[in-house]
Amino acid sequence: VATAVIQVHVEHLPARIRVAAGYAHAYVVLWRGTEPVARFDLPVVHGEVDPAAFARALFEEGRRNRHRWLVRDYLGPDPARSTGDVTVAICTHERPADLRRALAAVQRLDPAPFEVLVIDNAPRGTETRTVVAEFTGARYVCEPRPGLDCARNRALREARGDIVAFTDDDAAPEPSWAGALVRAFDDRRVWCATGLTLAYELETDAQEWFERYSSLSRGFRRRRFEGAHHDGLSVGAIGAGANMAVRRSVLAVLGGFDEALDAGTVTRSGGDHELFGRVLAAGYDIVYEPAAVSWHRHRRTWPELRDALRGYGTGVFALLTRRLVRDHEPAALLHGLRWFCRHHVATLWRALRGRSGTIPLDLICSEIAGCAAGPAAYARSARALRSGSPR
Amino acid sequence: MTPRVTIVIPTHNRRAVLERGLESIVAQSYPSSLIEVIVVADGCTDGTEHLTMPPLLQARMIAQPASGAAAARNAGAAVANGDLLLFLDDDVIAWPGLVEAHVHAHASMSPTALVVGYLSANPRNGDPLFRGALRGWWETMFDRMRQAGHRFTYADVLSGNCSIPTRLFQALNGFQEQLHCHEDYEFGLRVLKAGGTIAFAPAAGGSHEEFTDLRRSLRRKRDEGTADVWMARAHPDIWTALPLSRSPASRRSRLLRELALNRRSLGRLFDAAARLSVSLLARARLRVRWAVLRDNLLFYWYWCGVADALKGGSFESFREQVGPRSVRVCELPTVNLRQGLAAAMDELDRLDAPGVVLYYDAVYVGTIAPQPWAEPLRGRHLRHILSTTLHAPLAEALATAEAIAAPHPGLADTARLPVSVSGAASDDDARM
Repeated sequence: VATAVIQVHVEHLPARIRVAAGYAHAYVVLWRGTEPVARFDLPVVHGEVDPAAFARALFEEGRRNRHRWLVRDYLGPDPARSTGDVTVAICTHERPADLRRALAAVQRLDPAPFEVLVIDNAPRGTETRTVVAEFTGARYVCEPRPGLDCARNRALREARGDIVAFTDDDAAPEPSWAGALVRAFDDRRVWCATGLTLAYELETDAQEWFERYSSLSRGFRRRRFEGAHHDGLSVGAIGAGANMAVRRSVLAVLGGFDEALDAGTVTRSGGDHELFGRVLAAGYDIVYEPAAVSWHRHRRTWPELRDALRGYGTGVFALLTRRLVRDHEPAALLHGLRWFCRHHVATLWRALRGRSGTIPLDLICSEIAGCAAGPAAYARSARALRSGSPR
Repeated sequence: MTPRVTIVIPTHNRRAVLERGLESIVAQSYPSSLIEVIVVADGCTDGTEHLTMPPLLQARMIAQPASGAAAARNAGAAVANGDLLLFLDDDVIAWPGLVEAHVHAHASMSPTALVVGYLSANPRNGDPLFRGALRGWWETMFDRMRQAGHRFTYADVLSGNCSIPTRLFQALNGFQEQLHCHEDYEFGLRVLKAGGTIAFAPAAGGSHEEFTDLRRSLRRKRDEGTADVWMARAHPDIWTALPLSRSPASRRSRLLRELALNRRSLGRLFDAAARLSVSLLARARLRVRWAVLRDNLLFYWYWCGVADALKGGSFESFREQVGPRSVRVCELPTVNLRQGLAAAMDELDRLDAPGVVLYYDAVYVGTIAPQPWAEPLRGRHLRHILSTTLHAPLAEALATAEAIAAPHPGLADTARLPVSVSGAASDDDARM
């Protein structure tokens, strides 16, 4: 049974939150002013969100944040600051319908970005080009070399803004998204910012499981990851490439994204996290800014989900392999072993015991298989990159 | 207004970098006819004195026996003809607009302003961990000054890229030549005490190659400890701003301080072991542990510097001598935050007080104590203070004030309820 995605504003709390037929749960996103403050998973009874459960959740959230809200209201919004020009880049590969939704959302951005780039990665046809032509102000760029990180680096090279905000073709940012991300760059030490990614829809079991097990949301508190105090390896908590912005100078100073990684190559993912680690290791900071909200459409079918998790597993261990081999960081080996035991083995053990609420066995097995393939995948991808052959 | 600018560059055996720096001054957007360059070769043995200056510059070379950067800057300033003195380090590659941005900043400021410019650092030495940390430390220093509502202090002054009207510099008798480190802080303190202001000009920038490695940064930390003892003696009123006034926060830091002050032979053992571990941790890229141990080493060497300056005297007696002798009871005005942030900021400007006690109606929020080492307290500083150091007390005060000020209407109603059912009331009493 599906879960309804519902948005509620504390300023206009409805007496009852009605839900269309066919939904057993509700994914309620609570807003206060222009900022998201909480997300609740609540049961639906008789066609509405269980009022008692909603009231309890609201009470808990209010009690936790009351003091912060009081001070925020007293001090007012942060004074307007000068920020650089922002280029919004969408890297896409054969998803014209999703891209149309993403571009429509980008057109609603307020303030409007300096420019909008669509990087068409290794296209087979001209469909993407046709979709981009429907939108005025979006610039189409074709990057023939396959690989998301090739497309990202191309975006960095093409961009004329100082800051490049990336959104995926299967995501739709809120109008305030880019503005919220860019504000983080007011501090010169910040070279990267990530935002809050919420589920656009939870219509199928696959989407519900993705949100439950591998959510892209990193909470509702602003966080700052300081290069000076970070190990540079635990980067999962920072965010994800579907909702991030970087200084364009990461290309010149840090060499940009690692083109041996991420979708479109055999390593499948990890390009975003790899860059986060390198930004931190170079002494720069990363900000997680929950006010930068984007809605992500998770994979709809079970095979797609299984494949995505497998890809995540491969990406993480491909990344760690790069750290070990190319960056000469022995700590990556320790980190990988620890992560594998604490996360994968523990999850597998819970799944094997078949406790309710644990992840289905086929998903965790597929992720572990992905992990095992990671190191070899990185080696293969890096070799192919050097020789210039398609991966 | 087009003031003449004298650039003073003290240098010590760094001929190659100096030459590149001079090239960058030739390329300035500010008219070169208004720029005078004075290079002070301080105890150079690499032939810097015989350097041929770029022909387009009005440049002079002064050579002196090694006597420190502060003395070299004073010597250069003594023969300056410009209206504005601009101090640059010998390794600075200036952006083309550096001089113009300094001049521009002074044009919009009072004639008693010291303007600090930006410098980016390119770390060259040490392992990648050290280089990353150094770059972060360096940028942090400038980002602090970029923040809206930053209250400038003596520790924001950086002699590597700063400018000041020549007349003000002479009136203050220049840099303190006894100091080998933090002479810029000490000078900034005297600027502030004389009623001057400190400003930051981000456009007045340059880059410099940073050759510091761990060994050099430890030596530097030791010099800082020594300098802080000198500062505490010369300016007892800034005692609480100096790191040496803070009592150690943890057992480990208490131990390290003890090693540095009173048990140096054990301290040397710690030093050797810690240096070895730091390099091993750096090689294994165990960043977090590496950073903790490095900070411990820096802390230890700071206190070694303090011990050096005390020349065998005990720190406790030094603290009694120069530390806060008696807590001066100071009448500070009060400001009620209830009037709203904007009105409170205006009131702070009108008061022109060294410090202030903040209330929200009857509820105490906090005290902003007088800080003789900082620029005068102004309204523009208030928001930043409330959102950082006083954030938690403000939250408590706002919640408390709300609870006190607005009794729930329900309370008033209960008074009218027929509570005269006396039996029930006395039952309650009995149970209590």
